[in-house]
Amino acid sequence: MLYPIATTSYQMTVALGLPYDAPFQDAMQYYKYTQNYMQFSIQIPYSVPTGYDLRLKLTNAYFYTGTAYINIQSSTYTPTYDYSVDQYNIIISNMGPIVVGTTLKVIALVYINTNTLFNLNVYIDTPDIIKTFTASSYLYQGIKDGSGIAYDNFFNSFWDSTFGQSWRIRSDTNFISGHYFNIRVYQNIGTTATSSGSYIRFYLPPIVQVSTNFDASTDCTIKGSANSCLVTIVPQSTYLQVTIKGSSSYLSSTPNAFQYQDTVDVRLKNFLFPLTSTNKIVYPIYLTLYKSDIVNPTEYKRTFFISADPQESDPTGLSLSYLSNYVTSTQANYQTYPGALRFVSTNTASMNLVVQP
Amino acid sequence: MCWFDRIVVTFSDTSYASTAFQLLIPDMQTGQHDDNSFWYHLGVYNTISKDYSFLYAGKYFRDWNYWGTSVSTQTSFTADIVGKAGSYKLNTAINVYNPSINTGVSSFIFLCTQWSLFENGVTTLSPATLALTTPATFTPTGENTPLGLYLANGMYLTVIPLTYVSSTAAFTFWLDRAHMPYTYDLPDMYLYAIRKNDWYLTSANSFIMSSGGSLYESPLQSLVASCQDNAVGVVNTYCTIVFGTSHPLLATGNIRLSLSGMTVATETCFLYHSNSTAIAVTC
Repeated sequence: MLYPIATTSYQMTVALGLPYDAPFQDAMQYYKYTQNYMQFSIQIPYSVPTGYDLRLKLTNAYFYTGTAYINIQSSTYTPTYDYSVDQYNIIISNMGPIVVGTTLKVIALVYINTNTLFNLNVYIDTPDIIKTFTASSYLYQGIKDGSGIAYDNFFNSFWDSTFGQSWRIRSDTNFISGHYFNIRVYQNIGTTATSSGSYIRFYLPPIVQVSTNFDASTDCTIKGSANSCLVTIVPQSTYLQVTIKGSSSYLSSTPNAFQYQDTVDVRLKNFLFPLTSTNKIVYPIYLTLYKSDIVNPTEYKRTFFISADPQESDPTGLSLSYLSNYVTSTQANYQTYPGALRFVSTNTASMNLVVQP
Repeated sequence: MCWFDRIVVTFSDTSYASTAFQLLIPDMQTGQHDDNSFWYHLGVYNTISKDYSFLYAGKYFRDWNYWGTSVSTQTSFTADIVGKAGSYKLNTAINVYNPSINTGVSSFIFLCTQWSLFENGVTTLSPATLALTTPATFTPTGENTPLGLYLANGMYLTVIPLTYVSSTAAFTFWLDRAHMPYTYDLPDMYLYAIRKNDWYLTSANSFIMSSGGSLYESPLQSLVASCQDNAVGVVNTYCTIVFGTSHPLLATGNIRLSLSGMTVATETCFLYHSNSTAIAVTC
């Protein structure tokens, strides 16, 4: 491998996108002044030798520490992530060699902190130069700017029958009888923001599955009412689109299903979140509340993300406890009587997991 | 939104499948929040995709009003940290005073210190401690092995599991090769007991000794000072001070030389190991 020598930087084409390559459409957007899962695609114009580092730098936005994932699959190299204290930078090291034409994809949770544009700068160079970060140019570099739209105030919370109101949903390998997840809508935009025929649409990652046995008459309720939903489900390779309108019988008594300052629980069954949330497996949800059912109604949008976690099922001999019950809000006392979270394994068989295919 | 902090612990070998163990993650709770719950997820790591899949979960829950903001100070709860600076001392006594005991497996003695008191693989429970039959017993294997951890900001935590067999408030146990402080200023130390059953902090004491102008000492060995030219009035000579250490020195410590009867250039100095390997220093 020849080490690249250049008098000008190799320009990397950078694209800003959404996880799972979801398109920017409807509510699937970036939103300002809130958390967004972003996917950065970086095209490599010239082969990168082993031992080079990648630096991502945001301006007018910042990373959430610990959330990044890069799509490097190697039996030899395991990328490491170093987050700056100010949360504007991530340095990814130990990526191994990168072949020309590769598209690196980095997923991270980002907060857009501006009304105008935010920038993502990416650099690849030797570790010392990347860490020192005082050079006027770098062997590889690229830039892309983006922006977020304002989010609307119509969403309260997301929860399920396993974890209750905790923004968590149970992940499992099979559809679970009786299990539901709940979207709590609270339209707090204005008294005339919604009217007769209002409805919602949301987008979930394409890995979320809907059972072939899904029956809107029994598997969907609005405010606990049976036969209250008209559900349209559109699975695509990059997203799952779900549209929920009131059924004709429901709308006959409640024409505006999402009235101002009315708590509305939309509850769905026979949905499966098959993988536990990780840095790679993320579950952003993009929601649109439509004012009414006319053509081109006013739309209200926002995004959140949910955590998909396994159900509590303590294997034998494993336990978790928190040692100490001392709490202090005085920073000077933070390192006086610290407690400790303690995980114990006394049954080695429970730790000897069979690797899933 | 997701309000859980996550810590991922990946094992570098498979001893977890053959040996009982404990994982300790020290922290400080800074508020009495509703529904304090802690979860673990157990799964496998894919070494190709660099991602995890979690199969099982468990939790520990403590209601918000079962946290306390005060500690029960017991003046008889002490530790005899006496010895040469940086030395590893035998029979270091920990004098426990704990009037609130649940018998059975396991209670804990915590020591939060401003130096590395307990060094894993070096410091141990003494034979006399292991021979204790009352009021507590110590079984330092598997998940009941004492552990020393680094916290932050120069603070260290030592966690020693024990099993109370009777409710005797006062007793003493000992550590072997406990690391003595090696700073110029006496360090701070906090001792406390955690009770079985509810994991409450039941007894504590603190020793705030810093800025007291006291000194842990340790003699230097073979101290020799010589100059290339020792004649009175000579200028531009250089002097060499050779010494050996009785105990480890603090890695981030300073060496202070107090010289009289000479004028010394203070912007140039060199430090070498006995094998002439240079050590980067500033002066």
